[in-house]
Amino acid sequence: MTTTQLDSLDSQVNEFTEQFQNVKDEISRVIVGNEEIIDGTLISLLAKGHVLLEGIPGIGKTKIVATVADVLHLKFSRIQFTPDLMPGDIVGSDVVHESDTGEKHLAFQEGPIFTNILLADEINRATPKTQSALLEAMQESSVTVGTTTHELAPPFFVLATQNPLEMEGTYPLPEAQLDRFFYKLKISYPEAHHMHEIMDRTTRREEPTAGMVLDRDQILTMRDTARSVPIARSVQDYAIQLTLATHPDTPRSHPLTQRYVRFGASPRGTQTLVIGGKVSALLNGRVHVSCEDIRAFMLPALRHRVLLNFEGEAERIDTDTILEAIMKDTPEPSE
Amino acid sequence: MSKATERSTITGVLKRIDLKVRVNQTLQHLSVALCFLLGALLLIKAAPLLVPVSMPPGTWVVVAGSAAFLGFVLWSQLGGRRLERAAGVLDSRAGLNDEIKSAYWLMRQEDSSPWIDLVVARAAATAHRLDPRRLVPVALPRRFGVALALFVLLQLLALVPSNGPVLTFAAVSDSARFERLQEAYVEDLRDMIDGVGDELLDEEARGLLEEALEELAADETSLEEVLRDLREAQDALDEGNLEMIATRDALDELMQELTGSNELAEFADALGNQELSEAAELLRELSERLGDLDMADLADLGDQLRDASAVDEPVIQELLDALEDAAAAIAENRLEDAQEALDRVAAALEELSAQGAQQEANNDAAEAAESMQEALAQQPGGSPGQTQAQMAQSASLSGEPTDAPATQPSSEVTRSKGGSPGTQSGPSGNATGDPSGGELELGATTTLEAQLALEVIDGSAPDSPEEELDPEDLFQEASRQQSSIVQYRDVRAPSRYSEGSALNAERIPWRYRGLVKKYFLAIRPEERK
Repeated sequence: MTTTQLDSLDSQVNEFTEQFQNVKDEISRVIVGNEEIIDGTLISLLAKGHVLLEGIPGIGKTKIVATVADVLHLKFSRIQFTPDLMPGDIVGSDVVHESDTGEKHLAFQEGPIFTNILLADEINRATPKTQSALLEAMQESSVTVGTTTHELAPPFFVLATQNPLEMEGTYPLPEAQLDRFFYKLKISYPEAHHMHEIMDRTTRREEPTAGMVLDRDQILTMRDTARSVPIARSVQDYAIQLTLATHPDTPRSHPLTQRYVRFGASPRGTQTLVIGGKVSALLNGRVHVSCEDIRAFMLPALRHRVLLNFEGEAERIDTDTILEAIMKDTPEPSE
Repeated sequence: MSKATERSTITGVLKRIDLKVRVNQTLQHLSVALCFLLGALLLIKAAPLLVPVSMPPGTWVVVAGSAAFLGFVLWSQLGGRRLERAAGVLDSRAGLNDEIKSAYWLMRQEDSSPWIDLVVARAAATAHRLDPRRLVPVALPRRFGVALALFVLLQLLALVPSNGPVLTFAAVSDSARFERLQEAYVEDLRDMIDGVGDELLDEEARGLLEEALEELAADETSLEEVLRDLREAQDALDEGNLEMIATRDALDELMQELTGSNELAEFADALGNQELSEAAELLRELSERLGDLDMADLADLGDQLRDASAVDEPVIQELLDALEDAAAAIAENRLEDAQEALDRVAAALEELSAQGAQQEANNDAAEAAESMQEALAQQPGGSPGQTQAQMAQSASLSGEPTDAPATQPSSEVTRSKGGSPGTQSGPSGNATGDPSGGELELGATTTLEAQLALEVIDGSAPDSPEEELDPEDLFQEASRQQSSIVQYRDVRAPSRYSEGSALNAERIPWRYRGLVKKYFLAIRPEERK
């Protein structure tokens, strides 16, 4: 490895950080605060993941997704999930076409899922059958209709929003679907000074808009860069220890887990921790993953992958509480 | 910087860090070991000052602790270099977010990639900037301060004079208590032998006592032999008691005969009070003023002396003969002969007084010897639980003379341990007095029957039928133990294994067993006749 090559990698890392920061800055022109949400969304995009945004109506979930779509030079679709939405409305279906000669044949009519960024708005208002229409697309980046599989063009990025489950007219997402989301980000009420900023920006004659700062190729390059970051065994072991601590029936499980958790995080959860850690390391200008990177996004990575048991549900235990306890009680590897 | 240079830079820094970590770790272990060692020495030094306990010698603790520490240090350092740990320490101290640790692990992997080279290159640059001496300085742990304080405390404690434990528990360790008792008895006996004049103490007994004490001091002779010598000395010392009692009885009878005389009234009182020296003095005064008496008084005195001389007491025959001579001389008006006879009576009385004093001294020595026998017999380290009666039994079995009965019924064991008749000190109860204070304080008198009853109730029975427990042992055991020690006995042990297995395998509820048994008994085939 020559010095030139090292310098090239160095510049690649710097470019990654710079581009990420540019996207954030552009989004911040429209979105006030919510830095953790923006970071989480962008990291998911760069880690080939999908994001589930949860929050009560009116706090800007759709606005954030729309703004992210605006700054990325990608094809964008939006599906408003309702109880009568059918799978075919999402993935598309074969329809009868009549040629100029009068011959009729079936042709596939692509649904709104054939896009780069898909906003699945209020995803939990649709029935589980419709929600599950996204499963294959999110995991395999392909859609199968009848006997034909249609590939989705990369990058394919689902941004779903959902209302809290306690609200009327919602269907909880199946566990399998939840596991497909890289991060579950919770949006809370903005603070007072952020509220002022929101009022100042949105009650004027012209609202601020975000320009496109990142195109498709740049995103794909950033994705490759993120996956190239090496991780030491000890740090990877730390991520595994954190995951195992969420399993209720293992010797390494946390006491809170044993009491309140029915199912812990899957290996996909550990993958999320590691890949998210890699992106986090790059964002911090490092080319190695540290335990701090693993911890940085542990809550959004695992909170939807830990399923509470009856006792946990009855006592209204928040999975974040369990995960925070695990983070606190799991020591970093000393060697 | 080449790839090899980068890797050697990282390794070099890690080696230096590892060395410092090892040194610090050893210092930590040393400080902990010192604290424990000094704490143990402090405990060994301070505990006997506070409570009556026996502690192991400090030298052994130091030697054992040092050996254990050296072994631990060698074992902990045998693992070779642990550069991974050093990398972790370096990352932690310098706040490097696992940079060195990751680089060290990645550079040891066979896989290679530009990204790994970049990680190693960055880590090498970082390691080059670091100052291991500043990040991981060799520092003395604060525990050395604690160790120093313990050392100072230990030195101060060495200056404290030892006057026995401050606190005394009811359950003082038998070993220490009996050891002190034994020392006190030996001291008393030695003082007695040295303090009493040669002419007072029985010569044979003195020889035996001195021999026993020398054996005890030399610690070469067996405990049984020492006890045998002491018992023989005690027997020799007790020999004169019967004669002394007979003499006192005879003098009492003589006193009764002389009570009616005016001239001999004071003399009779002195005899009655066993004040023989005073009686002899009074008799000599009477002898001197014999010539001043009128004839009637002389006749009365002669009659009294004659009557008194008629007492049939061979023990004081010499004295009676002199009295008879005096009475005859007075009757024949040979006053000089009467005076000479009365002087012989006085001399006989003085001789009896000297014999009494000698026997008193003998009795004191016998009492001390007996007390020491008890202390020796109850010494836990010597012959555990071996009492005087047991010793007597062993002596009798070996064909040696002894006055202690081999076995005694439990109701007859209440013999006095007070020594000679007339010097009542009560039976040996629970002696809990301070032996260093000179005279022992004896506890309240207890009856043997009560002690035996307690022991029987508590189940202090001999383990085997052959080992028959002497009642004297029960008495001593009860006094020594305060409460019985009954060995745990598993009552199920006698049951055979097969019985236990059958019980364990039984699935029939207890309450239905009778019914089931009846059923099978009812359906069993008729026995062949």
